[in-house]
Amino acid sequence: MPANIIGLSCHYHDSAACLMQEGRLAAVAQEERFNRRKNSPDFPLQALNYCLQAAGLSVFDLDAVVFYEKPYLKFARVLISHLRAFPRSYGSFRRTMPSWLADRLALPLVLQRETGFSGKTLFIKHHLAHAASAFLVSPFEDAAILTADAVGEWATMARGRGQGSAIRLTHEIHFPDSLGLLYTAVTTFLGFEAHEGEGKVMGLAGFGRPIFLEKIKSIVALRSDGSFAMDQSYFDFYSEDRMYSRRFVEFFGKPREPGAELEERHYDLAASLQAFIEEAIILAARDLHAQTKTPNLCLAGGLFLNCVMNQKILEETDFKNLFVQPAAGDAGGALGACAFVSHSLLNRPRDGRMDPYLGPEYPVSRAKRVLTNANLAFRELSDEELYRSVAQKVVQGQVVGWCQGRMELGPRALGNRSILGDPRNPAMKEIINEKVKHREPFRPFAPAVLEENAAEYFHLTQSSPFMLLAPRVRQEKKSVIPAVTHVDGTARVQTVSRGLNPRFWSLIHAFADLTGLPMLINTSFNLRGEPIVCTPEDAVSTFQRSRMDALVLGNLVVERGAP
Amino acid sequence: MPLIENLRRMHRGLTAALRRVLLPGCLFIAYFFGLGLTWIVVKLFKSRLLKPADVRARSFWHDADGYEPDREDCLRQS
Ligand SMILES: [Fe+2]
Repeated sequence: MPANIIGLSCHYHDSAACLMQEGRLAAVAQEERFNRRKNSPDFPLQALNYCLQAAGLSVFDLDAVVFYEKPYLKFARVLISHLRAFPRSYGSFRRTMPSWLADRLALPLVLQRETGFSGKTLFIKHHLAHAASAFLVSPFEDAAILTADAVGEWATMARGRGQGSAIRLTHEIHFPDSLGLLYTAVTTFLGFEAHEGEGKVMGLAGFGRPIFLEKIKSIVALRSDGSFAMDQSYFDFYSEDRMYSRRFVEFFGKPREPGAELEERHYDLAASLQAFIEEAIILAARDLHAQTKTPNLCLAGGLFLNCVMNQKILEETDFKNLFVQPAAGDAGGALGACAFVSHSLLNRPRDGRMDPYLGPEYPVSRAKRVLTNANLAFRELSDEELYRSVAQKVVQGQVVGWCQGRMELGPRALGNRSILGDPRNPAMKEIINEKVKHREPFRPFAPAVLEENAAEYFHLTQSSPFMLLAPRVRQEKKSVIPAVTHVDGTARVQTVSRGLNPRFWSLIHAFADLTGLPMLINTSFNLRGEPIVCTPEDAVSTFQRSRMDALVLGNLVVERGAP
Repeated sequence: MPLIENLRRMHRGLTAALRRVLLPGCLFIAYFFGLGLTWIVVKLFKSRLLKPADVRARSFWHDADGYEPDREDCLRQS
């Protein structure tokens, strides 16, 4: 029996579709890249259509569509938690029920209505989808698995083991005890948006001291096996825009208004939260290692987009090898759902290779047409000329938009939809912010370094191809790469291998030929508040609405101000 | 044709208006009568449903199940 399996995640945030053919990843993309709404929770129709088109299939060629959670189970949890918070939960009930009744409880019907698909629709538990997304595409035959997010059906965290194609999750923590929700509650307290500002809080943490750690521990009981229970009187998961209660405000002081000036106590609270989360996860990982005795650990769930914490797990537990796939959050649930059915149910062999570059790509003819329509002059260069020319521009201090081949998966740009700059220039962070990104000044930019040179610059014991580790920068190199060294002395590193991304590798190599430094600043190709660009149209629009110095679409180079 | 189109438009408008009026009303009834009555019953019988975790527990990990589904399990939404 052929096995064309589609995995879907949607209706919460980060909806996505993924196609596996005979157990091989064929295509995967997030809906936000097509509908241009960041973290879009909408049914991923465009992402699904892209997956089918990329493989030359129609919905009638699909053997199954797999959803990344069990809707009825989740609905039961939603009702019970509204019951627990009665009558406070009325606002949340009124807000969420229409979408449950119209779409979320009727996924097979929605699927049929939107796509015409009337075949088998399968459902697996949310944390199984997370676990499968990490383990089944990892290089490990045997690994411990830890998942943590805001909430799935009931589970907010799960642990277990993967062997061969089998996954066995043995324990879980239940809602409302959730490290993900705790992180989001503090994120909203600090004046950032839920599900969007968590990365900002991680950046903020580097500037603070964890002086509130004991206070957090007094409201979240933490055990030596990493399990925990939150005193719910400090939280409110039913309000529209914040997730903390009045008691939390009495305990931690006035919340920060969005956009207000950041004070020392905000930095300190972020640092304390980060320290608490790290401690909890490290305890959980140590306990899991004691049980499984394997050197390999697979992590998934939105919490593990926290690269600072991932690094600490590697440094402070007995696990030697860590694997986190690039869409560790809910978008990765689509990948996990179809990987579970392909490998664990249908026994298709695993290839142990996670290629993140499985999004759409566009022909050069389309890029030329878009540039011509936008009245932008361009030059078409050979590969070698291109690498040399772009490297020179970066050396000259220019900010370059770099759009190549198939779009990468996950929230971090991995060299196919990236904005590039010179990591040696201490002012480069401000320059990129001023010209394009307009990000908060406390947020660091990431380095993309040739994999073979990574250990010369960072205390890194394994590769970090998806920018999900934050090792310390070697003391003697801090002054060499000031633009990517965070205030706490770490950097969110992407290691670039020739095998996984030969064009990006060649570009960094060309930069190294000119400067001796095998590294570039790599930040995502988007404007603030927008998803990463997907099409040549998106890239050109972003170029035109920013002050980026040059735009590269494949082998076509556009310079700002060129006639 | 314009007649059918007009009828369709009227039908759409009517449905939207009904939805705007009926849905909040239905949700209000479902919440305060459905959940509300359940809440009272659950409170009266001191059900486990409303109790938070026991903070004196030695561990807050729960045994997990439903994580090794076969094809039949996967066909179910619960
Ligand atoms: Fe999740």
